[in-house]
Amino acid sequence: MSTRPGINAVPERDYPGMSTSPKPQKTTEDPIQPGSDREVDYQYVALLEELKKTGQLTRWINDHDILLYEYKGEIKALSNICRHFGGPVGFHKAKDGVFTCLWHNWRYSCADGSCLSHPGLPLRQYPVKVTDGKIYVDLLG
Amino acid sequence: MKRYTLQAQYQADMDCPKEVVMWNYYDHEHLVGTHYKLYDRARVVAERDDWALVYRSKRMPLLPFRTSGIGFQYMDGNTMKSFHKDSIGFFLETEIEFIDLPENRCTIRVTYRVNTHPFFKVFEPFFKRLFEKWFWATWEEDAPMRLRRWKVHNLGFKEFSGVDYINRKIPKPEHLDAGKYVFDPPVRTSSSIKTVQGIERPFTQSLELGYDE
Repeated sequence: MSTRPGINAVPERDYPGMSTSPKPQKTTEDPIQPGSDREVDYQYVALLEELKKTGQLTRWINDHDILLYEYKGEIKALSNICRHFGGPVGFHKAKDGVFTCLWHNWRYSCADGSCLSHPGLPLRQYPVKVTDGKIYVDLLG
Repeated sequence: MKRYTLQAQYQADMDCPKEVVMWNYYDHEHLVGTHYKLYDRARVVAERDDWALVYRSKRMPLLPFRTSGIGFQYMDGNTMKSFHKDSIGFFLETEIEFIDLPENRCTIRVTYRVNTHPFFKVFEPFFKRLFEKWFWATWEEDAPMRLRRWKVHNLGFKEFSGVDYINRKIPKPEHLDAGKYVFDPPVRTSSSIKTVQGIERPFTQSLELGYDE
């Protein structure tokens, strides 16, 4: 019998793009946006220069899995949790404006997160703002 | 006539309950997704409760050609038994034991056996090498899937729906009790995997950005 010593669920290999999630970091702005009674919760996700490297990245922030990407010159954020079984929508780099979930190949539009495989099950969109080269998303928006 | 059994056994631990791993073994659709570099086609020929008859086409390590075949799998207590007749003529018997460990962890032990003519004893080192590579190749692709499945379960994920607090744009509840992970085969499918067409991998190459778990 062969047992790989020390293996403990996570294989001893670095997955491409795997990185340590940044520590949650709030912006200093008031949680109630001027002119709105809606609460906002902007959280730091990544540096703009990190996103520029590949045009797409994913980060877990406060139990939200955020898929951050650049599409037609605009920075957007979607939930990275596939509505099917919870797979990582942004594991593969998007092709032709479409994300394909790694696990079961459900397809989502980069334009708005709409599900092309099963219309009616879109991905949640998050409002994005960029301040001083840092990208934030509103977890309540 | 005398027969000889080629045998290889491998095991590893997972930081999730064994039921999550069982789900993974019964989720036939992920073969051409998660394992798109290995599998190119899959079809569920028949399935009921905890048994399934599945066609798979794949490329194994070390072999310079693709193989395909029909496999039957069912649960015998906490052991999954699988019988696979491959296009190259071998009849592979696999036992996958799911062993509970404390704190929602488990050990998975896989035994591969081919009962064959004694002539093939000479190939035993190759057999072991082949299945060692196969075990770890699939393990490394499945392990992050199982961990993520367990993680989203604990966030309250529901199939064909998602995570409630994310969908509703509300703060995450302070006390979120997702309950025990229940393995209830067959796994729900929405693709053509149960039709005569089966399913194919959508692409063979990809720029992988990976998981952030």
